[in-house]
Amino acid sequence: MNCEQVRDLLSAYLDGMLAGDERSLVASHLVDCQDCHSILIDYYRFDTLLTLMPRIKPTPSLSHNLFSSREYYELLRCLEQESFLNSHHL
Amino acid sequence: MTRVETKECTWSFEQIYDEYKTAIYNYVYHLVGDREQADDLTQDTFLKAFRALPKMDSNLKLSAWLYRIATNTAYDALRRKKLIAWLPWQDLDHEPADAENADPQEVYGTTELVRAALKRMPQQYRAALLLYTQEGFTYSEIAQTLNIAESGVKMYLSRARQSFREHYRALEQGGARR
Repeated sequence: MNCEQVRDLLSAYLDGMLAGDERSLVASHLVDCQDCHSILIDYYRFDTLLTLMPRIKPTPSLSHNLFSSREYYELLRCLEQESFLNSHHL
Repeated sequence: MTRVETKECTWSFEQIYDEYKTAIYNYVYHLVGDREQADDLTQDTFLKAFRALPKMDSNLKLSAWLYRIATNTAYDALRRKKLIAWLPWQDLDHEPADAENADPQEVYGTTELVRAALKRMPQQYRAALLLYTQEGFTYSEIAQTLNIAESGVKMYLSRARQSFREHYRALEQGGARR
């Protein structure tokens, strides 16, 4: 396998999503190729950074805006009407 | 109180919102790169979800289905934004002008570098990468959420990582246009 072919498979290799043969070919290429190996290390590092990104809390007003919105009231009204019609088999 | 049944259990709208608000908000924020817009789009996502819950695909998990709605809502917003960004030099991913000539390491901490690199990626790859790394979705769940084949997820994640790496390193080295 050349570097180009391996680079297309590095992401799936990292995720453990390659079948046995392909996995072995990539693994043996990585032993000898410093460039491809450093890309794999980068992928691992960036995955870790993304995983550890701090979560932002939504503002409390988001909940208020959603549950007091006109659209939400209309939705509840529609659901109540549907429920009424269903219960009376209309 | 209105309650809805899913494959997993019975929920009230408030319970669904409380359970998923932070995750959906962060996902949408990283897709569109703007907190104010993320507020509006998170609200839209939940309203669409509540409205469509009776028609929800019973084969889907509630989380995958919510993320699908969030993805489509964010993509629609990004498309609209592109349509109104009519000035030829107007950059969708605009950063403050005073960052123009500064050292990127001073302007951006790691979190900001990650956010900036995400913003520069193609949106469909960005979604796959966020679902995998931040939400811990499996390939199968990403396929369900983005409505693509599992083989497509492998390709999306591969391109996502290539793209993210390219943009992150460019930003790190100060070579990217900001």
